[in-house]
Amino acid sequence: MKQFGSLHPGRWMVLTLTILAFALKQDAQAQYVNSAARLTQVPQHTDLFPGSRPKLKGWLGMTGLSSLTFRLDNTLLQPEGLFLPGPSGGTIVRLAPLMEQLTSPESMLGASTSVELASFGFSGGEHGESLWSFRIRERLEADATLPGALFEIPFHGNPAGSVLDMSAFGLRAIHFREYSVGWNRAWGDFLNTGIRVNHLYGMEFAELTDFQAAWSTNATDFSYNLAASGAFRSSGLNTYGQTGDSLEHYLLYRDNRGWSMDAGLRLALSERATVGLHVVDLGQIHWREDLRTHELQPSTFAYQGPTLEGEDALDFFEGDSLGDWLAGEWARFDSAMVPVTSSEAFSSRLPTRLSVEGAYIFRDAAASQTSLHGAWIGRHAGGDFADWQANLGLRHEWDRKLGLNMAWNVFSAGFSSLGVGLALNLGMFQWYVAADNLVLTPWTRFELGDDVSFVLPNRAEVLSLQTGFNLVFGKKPLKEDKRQGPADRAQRRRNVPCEDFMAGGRR
Amino acid sequence: MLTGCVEETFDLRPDGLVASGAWSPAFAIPVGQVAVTAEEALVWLDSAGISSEVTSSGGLAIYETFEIVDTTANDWLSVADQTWSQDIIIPTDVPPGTALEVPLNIDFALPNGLVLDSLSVAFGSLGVETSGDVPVDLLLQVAIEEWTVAGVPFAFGVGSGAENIGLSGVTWTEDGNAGLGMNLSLESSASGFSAGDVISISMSFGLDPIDWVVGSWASGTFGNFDQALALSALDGLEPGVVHVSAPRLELEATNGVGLSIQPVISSASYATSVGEAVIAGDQITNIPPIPAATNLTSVMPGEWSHVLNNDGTTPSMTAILESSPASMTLSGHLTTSGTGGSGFVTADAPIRVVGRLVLPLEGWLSDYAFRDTMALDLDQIFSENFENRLSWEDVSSITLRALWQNDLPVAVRPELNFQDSMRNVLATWYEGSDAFTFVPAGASEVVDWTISREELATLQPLGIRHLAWAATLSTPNAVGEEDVFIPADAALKLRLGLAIQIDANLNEE
Repeated sequence: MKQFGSLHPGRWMVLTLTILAFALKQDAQAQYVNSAARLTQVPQHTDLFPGSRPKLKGWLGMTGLSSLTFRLDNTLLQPEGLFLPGPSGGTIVRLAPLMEQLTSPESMLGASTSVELASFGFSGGEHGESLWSFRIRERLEADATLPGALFEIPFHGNPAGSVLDMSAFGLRAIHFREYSVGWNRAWGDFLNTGIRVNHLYGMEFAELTDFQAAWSTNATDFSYNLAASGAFRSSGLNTYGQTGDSLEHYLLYRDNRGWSMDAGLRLALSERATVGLHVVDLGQIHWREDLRTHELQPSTFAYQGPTLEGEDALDFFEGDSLGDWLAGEWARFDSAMVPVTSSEAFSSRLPTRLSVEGAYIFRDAAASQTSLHGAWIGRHAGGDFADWQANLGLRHEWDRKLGLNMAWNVFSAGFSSLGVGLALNLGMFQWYVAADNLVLTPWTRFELGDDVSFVLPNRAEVLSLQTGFNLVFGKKPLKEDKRQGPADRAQRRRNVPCEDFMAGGRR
Repeated sequence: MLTGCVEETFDLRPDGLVASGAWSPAFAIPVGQVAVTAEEALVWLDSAGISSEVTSSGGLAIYETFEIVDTTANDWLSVADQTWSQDIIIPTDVPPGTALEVPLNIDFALPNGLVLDSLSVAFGSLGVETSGDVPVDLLLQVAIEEWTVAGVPFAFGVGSGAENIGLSGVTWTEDGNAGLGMNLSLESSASGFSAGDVISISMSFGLDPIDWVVGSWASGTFGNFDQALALSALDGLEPGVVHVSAPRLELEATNGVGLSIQPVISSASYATSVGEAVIAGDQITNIPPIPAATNLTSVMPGEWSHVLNNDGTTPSMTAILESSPASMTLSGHLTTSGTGGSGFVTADAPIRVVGRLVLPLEGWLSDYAFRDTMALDLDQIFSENFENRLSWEDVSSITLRALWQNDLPVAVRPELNFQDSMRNVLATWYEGSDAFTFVPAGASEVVDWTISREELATLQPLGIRHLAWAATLSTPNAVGEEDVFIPADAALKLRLGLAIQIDANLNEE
């Protein structure tokens, strides 16, 4: 019996997220809150856009509080339209919309979180054209993809000739830490680049790969054919509850290591227009410790019902014969679907994200600035960028003390979300928050008992939140720049390499 | 913060939670499969006492065996106990220590006109008793010329009074003279014999049981039989349903006796609806004898067979069976040749005659039906599997699909019906309402029986408890009496599937 009570909190978190991911269907644009990527005063906006440059000369993230992200993805089930008040105080569940939602070909549910343990950065170079950053970030991500075919069974059954393809089924959970060093540099007035190298330290991993499964019902004789293949591989999940794995070893000395790189560039097309190209999470972790891989080669199981033999054949369904036969069929199934278990090291790539973005300043006042921005962000998983999102939004800044961003996000899965972001600078103290659907969407309360209830957004395929506190340095008020004339501008080009502009604002 | 944004509240406690809307899943379930070869199908008939075999041509034949005669010839071995006695008058004085020799020849009766050649006694005994002027120290020695024990002449000595001599292992070899030649020797060592003394000697011969006898017997009759064959394979068939092109009644015999035996069928008949009809023909009246066994010391039984078929019976066997007779009767007896031939008879030697009615499955069938019934409580199935959340009214239709693959050269017409607990038929389905659907020989066919919600609603109150099935077989052109050959490994394969269409409107919104 494993003593889960002895687990330390980090493992509890992983376990909880893993269970959550398995219970739900998710596909996460995990750990990146899009609305935060446009808060250019905030150094963490470069998490997704490493080619962008924060509008400051240095920062020190408040330990453990500089960046907290939470994100939930759910395209499986939305409460909106599913429930009606019952005639006697109960609740009516409407089957039609329930079936429509659950049986869509692919739905998503996911959960992820990350926390920056340490973060700081400073500018350097003769004119401050370089910006160096250091970061330690803990990342947890769990997602599962459940095919709609699973829900076809209870709602639509398995009519003759049907094929329930469950190959879209996917599971993935990962817990790792990044130790990052970044270098951001302005190259004249029109180009800014950023690169960040991350050393990865893996703690837990679980993944279902190359999964194929289909259940077909023969149109003629109703016989079943089940075909399946795939592999489930894990690291760090098998020693739960084993006291020999010390906390120190768990936190610092696991032998699961890797590297990744984030890079990007932003190009100024004019004084008002910029475009950028960014890539993050380009790398992999090599898992070597506490490994377990269960691999099922392509296997099939054909079921044609019991074979009746002998003069007592028709008594088959009476007495113990049926039970004996079922036991035999299960044994046959068990022998047909035999996974091979091994403990070989393996590598797992991080889901790389590629972003193409642009911004245009259409209002440039003395103490404020308003811009229109848009981006396309693709997630490379499974060989393509079929999982993507695009957004279009407005950003407004007041004297560099307050930044506000609103954007409408459209996702490849066919839904949209409203994102908002707010950054507030009070002297050196900076607080920011960004969220998708968390605040503006209406919510529904569900009561499970007299004192037990929970709330869900009526319709929010994505729920995300990112917030944090930093101490920032070298920030200049927006109006200070505005007071400078053309001559000053020329001087400033030489002395202050377009950091503001390349951050997406005016110079 | 979030509470303020809550638009609606719903109670998800199970007691107040209901679903609304249409729920119409369809489930297809493979119920099972049956592959029955012709040979396996016939095994099903074992319970009726019918056996089957694969013929040398790869076909099938069903047969029934029955016993006609099962006896031995022990009666012919039995020799009645016999006694012999004689007074011997001493002719002259015989001094002590001197033996008086007395030769004798005694008669011995043998049964059944047996002319003995030789005989072996198993456990017989010979009682000897002397009386009269018998001296106390009388020594009587007896030697029987025809008898030996293990090749040694049979002889023994007794004193005065009565004694028993065992005859186990005595072989009697007849020397051509009538009766038994016996030499007696009387001696008294103390007093001798005086002239005129009378000594009475009596002997009782008990030769049974006897191991074997070699000789010749007079003609005799034994093994009477009067056997009615039930013909289970034809039980319940209407005349004209089954036509077997080459049936035969095989008579087989085992003869453990070293004598030729002649079976005699004095009467052959079959039962028709109007009474017994006579079977005549050469094969009834002209039956060869059963050969004798050979080799007395290591008996080789005589084997014999005789066939009654369409060639030698009137009416023909085919015609007899096509009339679906209830039984067939043979009466008669066995005889020995009785012509002075010699032979042997051993103890417990079997004389057995059996009959075997063989029906090779080559011919034609017209509406020959197999039937069976399985329990099917649909009410229980629904209540157990859906926990009363569904009822008959939620079922839009149930389709029972039969995928027949018929490799038999016989067309099959499947039929199903639902029965109540008293086996009353509630409903019967064919494909279509009234058309017979045959699965042609060598063909595959999907046959659906679909019962609608309305039909279920009608049937459900009646209480379906059994599902009965029947397969009616007909050969192609049975009307034209065209014979077909049924290979033993030809199979009729059936896959059963069940399709249930649910159409439930759980609650109106």
